[in-house]
Order: sequence, then C-alpha cells, then structure tokens
Amino acid sequence: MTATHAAQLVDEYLQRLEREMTDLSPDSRNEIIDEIRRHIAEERGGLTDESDATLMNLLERLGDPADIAAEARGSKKPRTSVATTRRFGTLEVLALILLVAAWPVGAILLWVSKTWTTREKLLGTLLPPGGYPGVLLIMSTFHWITAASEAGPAWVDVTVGAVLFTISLVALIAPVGMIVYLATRLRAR
Amino acid sequence: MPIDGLATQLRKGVIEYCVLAMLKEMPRYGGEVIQMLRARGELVVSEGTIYPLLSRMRSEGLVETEWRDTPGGAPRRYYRLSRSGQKAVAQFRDEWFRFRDSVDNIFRNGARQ
Repeated sequence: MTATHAAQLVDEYLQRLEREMTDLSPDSRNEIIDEIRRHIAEERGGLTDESDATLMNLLERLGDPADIAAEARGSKKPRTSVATTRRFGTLEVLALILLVAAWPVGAILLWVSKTWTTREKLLGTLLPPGGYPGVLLIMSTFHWITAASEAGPAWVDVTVGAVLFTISLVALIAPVGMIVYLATRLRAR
Repeated sequence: MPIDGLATQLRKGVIEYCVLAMLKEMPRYGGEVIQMLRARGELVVSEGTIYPLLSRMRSEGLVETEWRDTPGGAPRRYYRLSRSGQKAVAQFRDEWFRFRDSVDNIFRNGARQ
C-alpha cells in the first residue's frame, strides 16, 4: 500500500467522524478528533508492516464514527433531541395560518399533524367553530337579532346590543387566542 | 431483547467506572486505557468511543488532563483521576459488589428459594 493511500483512508475516516459530530460544540469535537488522530498515528507507528488490511483493521477496531459521535453526545443529549425540535415543521405553521384564514383546510392539517394531542386538536377545531369564516358567518346573523329587539322596550334593545357586542369581541379574539395557545403547545414539545 | 443488545446495555453502565478505576493508580493516556481494556476482553467494542468518554468525564470534573512529552514521539494527553473521580470510583465499587452479589445469589440459588 502506498503512503498516500494510507493517508487517504485515515483522512476519510476522520472526515466521516467530523461529519457525524457537526452538532457538537467545536471544542469537544476538535478535542475528540485530535485524540483519535493521535491514536491512529501512534498505532500505525507500532505496525511492523502496514498493509490495507492492517490499517482497515485498526480503523475497524476504533469503530463506526457514528458510534463515537453517539458516545460524545452522551446520555443527556441523544440524537433524537435534534429530531424532536424538528417535529415543529411547515405543516404545523401552515395549519395555524389556515386555521384562521381558511378554516376547513386548516382544521384538516391540524388533525393530520402528529404534534398536537387529540384534546388540543378538538379545542383548536371547535373554539371557535369555523375560524374567522365561522365567526363572520355567526356575526352576520346579528343584525336580524338587533332588528327584532328594536321592536321591544329600550332596555331590551340596549342589553341585546351590549351582549352582541361582547360576543363579537370575544369571537374576534378567540381565533387568534387559539392560534397562540396551539403555538405555545408546539413550543412546549 | 437480542443478546448482543443486552451486552451493549451492560457495558454501557460499567465502562465509565472501569476507565476511572484504571486511572486510580496512575495517570494514563487514551491509547493505554484502550490497550488495558482490550487485554481484559469484552468490555469495549468500538475502541474510539473511549475518547469521547474521557472528554465527557473531563467536562464533568471526574478526570483532569495534562500533556506529557514522549521520547521520540508526539506528546500525549494524560488523564488523572480528580477528587470527585476518586469518590465516584469508591461509590461504584461498593454499589457494584452489592449488586453483583444479589445477581449471583439469584442465579445460583434463585430456583431453590
């Protein structure tokens, strides 16, 4: 085996190790790579005749770079933690936007996403029913009620007006409030 | 659980303390620790994992490091047991003997109880 080929095998191994450890702090990554580079150099120095097979054997004993990276992450930071933060993706953001703007589509996406619990999905679907389209539909019926209450005594008219005003206010805030709630549930994941 | 998965799980729990125990008598460098583990059989599969383990133990304050020159070679990083590392080894030792006795007891006499 030529010296360049040996150097190439070692470089490839160290490069794979570096790629596997990109999520680690530069300090610990550099320390581990440096130690392993020294280890390889020292072990190679001890080989009486270096061949492809002996060098491969050396690298094989060191193990899969993925295993070394996993050990570096330790039990406190398993690789899955990277995946959990990524569970909050385009689907969830789209679901939240469409839940206010285009309710049926938003609600379907809400149920498609695996991130929220069933309870949160139910709340998100029913409070308020139909998002802004639903709220506007309900509010469009209010003028019938005000028209009917005008026929009665003045205090009925005033009370009905106040109640409808409160309902409208709540109904206009509710969709935004629900989006904020669902978004905070996402961040809690 | 597949049997090699079992061995991996068992190793995981003890390897850290085995490495610490090896540093008890004197500071050693990574390659030396690996050679010792290799001579003792089945304790480590991927030898390279000893380096991140040592690095983690250093950030946890269980070991301290120092560079030493080697005659005619590159300097080596030596790992020395810190005071909290010594405590950890002593604790593990007590715990391990109790644990081992309990398991031995069950496997030797369990059926007769």
